[in-house]
Amino acid sequence: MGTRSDPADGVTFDGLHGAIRRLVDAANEVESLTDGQADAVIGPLDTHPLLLGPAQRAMVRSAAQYRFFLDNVPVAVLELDAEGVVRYANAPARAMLGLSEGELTGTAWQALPLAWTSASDARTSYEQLAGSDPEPVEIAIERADDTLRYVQWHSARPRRSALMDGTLVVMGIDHTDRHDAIVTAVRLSEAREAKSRAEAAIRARREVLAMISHDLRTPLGASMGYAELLEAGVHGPLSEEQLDVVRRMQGTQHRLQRLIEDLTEFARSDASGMDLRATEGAIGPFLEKTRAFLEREARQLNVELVFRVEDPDARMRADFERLGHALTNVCSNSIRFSPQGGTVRVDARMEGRDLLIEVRDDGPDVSAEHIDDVFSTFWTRGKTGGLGLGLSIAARFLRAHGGDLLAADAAGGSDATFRIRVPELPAEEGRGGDANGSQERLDV
Amino acid sequence: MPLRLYVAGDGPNSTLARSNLATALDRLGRSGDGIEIVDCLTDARRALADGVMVTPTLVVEGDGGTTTVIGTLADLDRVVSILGAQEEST
Repeated sequence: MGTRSDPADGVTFDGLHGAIRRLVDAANEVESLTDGQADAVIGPLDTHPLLLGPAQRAMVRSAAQYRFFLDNVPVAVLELDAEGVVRYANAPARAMLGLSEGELTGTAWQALPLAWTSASDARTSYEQLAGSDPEPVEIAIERADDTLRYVQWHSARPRRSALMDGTLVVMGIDHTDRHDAIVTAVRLSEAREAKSRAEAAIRARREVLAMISHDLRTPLGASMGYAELLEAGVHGPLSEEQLDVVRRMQGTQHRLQRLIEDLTEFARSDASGMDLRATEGAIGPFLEKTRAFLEREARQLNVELVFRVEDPDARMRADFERLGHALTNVCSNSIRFSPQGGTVRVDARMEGRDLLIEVRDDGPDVSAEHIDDVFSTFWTRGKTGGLGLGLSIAARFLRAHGGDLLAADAAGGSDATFRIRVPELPAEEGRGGDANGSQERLDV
Repeated sequence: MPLRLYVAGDGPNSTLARSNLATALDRLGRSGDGIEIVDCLTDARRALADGVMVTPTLVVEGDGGTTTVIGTLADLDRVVSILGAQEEST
């Protein structure tokens, strides 16, 4: 009699059933065991080791086969008794649940270390698996290292098997990798959408900035032009008093221009980062242009501006346009916070390949508690004619350049000091060019 | 006529076979003195060597050949018949 596969029982149990069948067959088919040597069979037989040996060996082999197969399938298999208590767990089940055979055997399904979402979850899932029309359930496993394994549990019930009456076989398939891939795909999709939204926001902001820049700069430029005509006496000579009013108007226009410039530059750098344009040039002309640009504002606020450059001919490679903007912002801040008749001193020197600039004013010092605030957006030292963007933008420029801007703690003194350190840019940085050709922003 | 009865200790079928064989021999007017009892539980090697895979097994050796009867020998008439036929041939 050959082995017969019973699909209803499943492959898993075929080995055991086959062994039992062979045992019964062996007991009945005496002739096969006696090689047909018996001349007569008169009455029942004993069962003794000689009879059972081959069948027992077949059964033991089948059991070993059965266990080998079960331990090597990539599926967790649990055999539950009629009460839902684990009677057997294969190696993948033990590994998946992180429990030994001894710990698993005798444990009820509801007590297994699965990530139940509610108290009734365990009972419901068992009913779902053990019911007459079982359905797979999704229950994760919470591992000792706090990671989750996502497992889909299926069930099968051996039929027409008195030996396994009431047994429920539960099989868990770990699909964490698939789950993670789906989660990653969803996150990627969300990230793409977020990026797309951010890019749209950046585009919108640039458009708004372009509009602001145009709509504010154009009339401001015209206004500044008319003021210059008045100052130059093109429309007739002005009295000293009228000239003073015109110059005050020009000062206000100048500050307004700086505010627009700051706002535009702040948003541009915030949105798209910094694209440095390195050029090689002497530090003297660069500092002189900055001084000249600030002179009008200093004069109008009655602040003396003193620039001292240790070696004006020292050359370095830098984005002079942005450095000029940064230094202008720092100096302008000092000018505005200096008292009438005060002095802003700017000392510049090279230290190795770094340019060091110290800006000192007679205004209120920056106390230790506010040192970090100085470079925050929209923070000001007190009375202000600005938005609090200047130092923030300057710090951002200098950091992009690999340098830094520090506010020195004057410990309650009556002046404030800012220190700028600018390292030379490497030769490959930026597109290169002449320092004198990249000062347009300062000349506005 | 040598007789060998292979049994499995004092198992019920082996005990019955012993008793039935004694009764059959008695019917033939023979004593059971010449019967060799091989207990497979204590001498499994002998049973294996003789090719005996089940108990009870009765092996009757005669000039006409060897007759093997397995079971409890419950059908005494048949057992007597087999033993008688073998006795006549020797």
